[in-house]
Amino acid sequence: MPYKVLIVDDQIMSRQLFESFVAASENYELAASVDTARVADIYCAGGRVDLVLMDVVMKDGSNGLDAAAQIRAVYPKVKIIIVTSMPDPTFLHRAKEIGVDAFWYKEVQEAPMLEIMDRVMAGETIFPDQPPVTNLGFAKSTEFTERELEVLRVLAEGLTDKEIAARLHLSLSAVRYHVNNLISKTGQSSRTELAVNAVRSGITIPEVKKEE
Amino acid sequence: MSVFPANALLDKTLWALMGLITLFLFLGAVVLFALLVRQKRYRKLWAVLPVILPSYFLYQCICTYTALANSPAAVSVVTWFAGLPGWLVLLTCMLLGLAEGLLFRSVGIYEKSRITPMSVKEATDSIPMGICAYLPGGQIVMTNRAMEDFCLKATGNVLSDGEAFAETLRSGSLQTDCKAVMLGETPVIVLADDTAWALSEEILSDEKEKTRILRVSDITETYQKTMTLRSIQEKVSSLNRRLAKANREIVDLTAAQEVLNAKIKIHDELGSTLLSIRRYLQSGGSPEERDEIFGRLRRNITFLKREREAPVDEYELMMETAARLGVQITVTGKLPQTEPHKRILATAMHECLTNMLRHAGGDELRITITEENRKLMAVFANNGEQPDGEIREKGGLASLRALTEQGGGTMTICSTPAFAILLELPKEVENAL
Repeated sequence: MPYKVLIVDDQIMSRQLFESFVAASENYELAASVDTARVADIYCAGGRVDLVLMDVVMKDGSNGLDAAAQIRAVYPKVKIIIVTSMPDPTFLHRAKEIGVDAFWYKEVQEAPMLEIMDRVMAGETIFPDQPPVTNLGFAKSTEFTERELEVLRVLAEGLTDKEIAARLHLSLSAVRYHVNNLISKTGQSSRTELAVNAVRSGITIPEVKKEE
Repeated sequence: MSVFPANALLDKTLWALMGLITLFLFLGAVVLFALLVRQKRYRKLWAVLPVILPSYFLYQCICTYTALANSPAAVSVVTWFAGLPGWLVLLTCMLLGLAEGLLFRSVGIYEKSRITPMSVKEATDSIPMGICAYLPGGQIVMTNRAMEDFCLKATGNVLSDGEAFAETLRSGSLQTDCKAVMLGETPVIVLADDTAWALSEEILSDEKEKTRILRVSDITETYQKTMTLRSIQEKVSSLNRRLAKANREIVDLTAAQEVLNAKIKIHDELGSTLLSIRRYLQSGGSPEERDEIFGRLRRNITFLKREREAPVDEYELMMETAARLGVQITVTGKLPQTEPHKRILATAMHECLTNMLRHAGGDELRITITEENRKLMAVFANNGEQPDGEIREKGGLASLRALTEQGGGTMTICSTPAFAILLELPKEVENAL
């Protein structure tokens, strides 16, 4: 009996690409294909889903990793593969923490998607060793500490040092220290340039808020 | 009376000396009296004695020395006085002098340690803060120079009515170029010369008459620094808003780039498909091969034609999801479109739909919306199997309750006879979620 696959991706091109993978194999059939992570758990509720292929950043503000955490907590038997094109290393880190079954970088991963799906359904967990290396100014994405990446993400949301300190439970001086370190490592001229280029490079993706 | 009868010159000199002493005693007594009458009432009695006695002695001395005591009354007094021993008169003068000296000293100490209204006025005039104490009705009890200057600059009038002045400050009806602003919770008056004054008012409740104290303090430096800081904060906030917006746009652009890359791939695939068609047309092939080629072609064209989808309304999303899963959502009444009601009800729909699919297994979710007494009530029920016992509230239900309570509402779960969730929300609620 084929495994039922739920595809969650806000990009129609990606969804249809995944749909074509599913259609190409006799081992899988499409349970549903949706453009938001907000309803992913509802599809899992009726026991009609065996595997979820889920993107991370959705245009409606929902987050594939949050949905994955929810599904993992309530439906532990459902396999989850996170697929993303963003090299933000915290995505990979968080996916491991949640306990998803595989993490796949669109366009970068050499192994074909169907192979990943087969191995996951066979009980394997598959994670890349590290996210794709990208450059931010003079620095490579691998040169940043976890704390610096956290600060960078919140900085990219447009928060002030004080707000960053409150969000990350750090002292104001610690935030300033990290921001100065980031500026100095990357050679950016200002925090604004740092934030913009960080998002542009994909090293960090700020929480996408819906316009009020 | 003669102290030295044998020597008239010495006798006269002694009398002259005594007369001089008593004159000083008299003058001292007058000064002392003048000081003592300003003090508490009982001290006036003290003052009487040093005045009367020296006066009497002075009179006697004058009469005796100048021998002008021709009046019978004076003669009789002189006769009596002449009968007194000289040492007694001298001793009395000395004792009186000593008593006056002690009294002067005590008056001096008292004057130094005592605060008079004038000393208060002098002290308050020298401080930079403006003070005005007034009674109900506006009568001014005390004010200082700084407050008088402030009043003139702020209102254009001299300070004559405390209540009217305070009301003018409160209402902000000030001179042109002056303005009333709030600095946090403190009212501040900014004068035309750009000085800023913090205003505070206090009622002395222990007084019989409720005296009001109006104070203005010069906070120009703090005010200017606060204004500079605010201006910087506004600039920073504006920059941060622009940054956040720019980053959202970057996310969209990244996604657009992703789509473009995919389109390029499809374009390449399209080229490959066209080559396949050409090959098929040149060399022929089976109908299956032809259908496969046309299927690829159609799929590629569909990919290229479709654009990104618009975000879906939360209710519509739930309805659509339910319909795809074979569940019908029936709504009686009107679903609210205002926040936070919409968010709470959409979350409730999500939760009820999930729970129904997981546990009850029905195919209809019924939502009844009613409004009464400024309350909006929503009941969620389904046609699935009823729960065996009490519903344990955890996970999604607990989150829904927290969300409802944050919105000022209440949530009730009924397990028997049929499962239902009742949400009661105030119709007008500040969106703090």
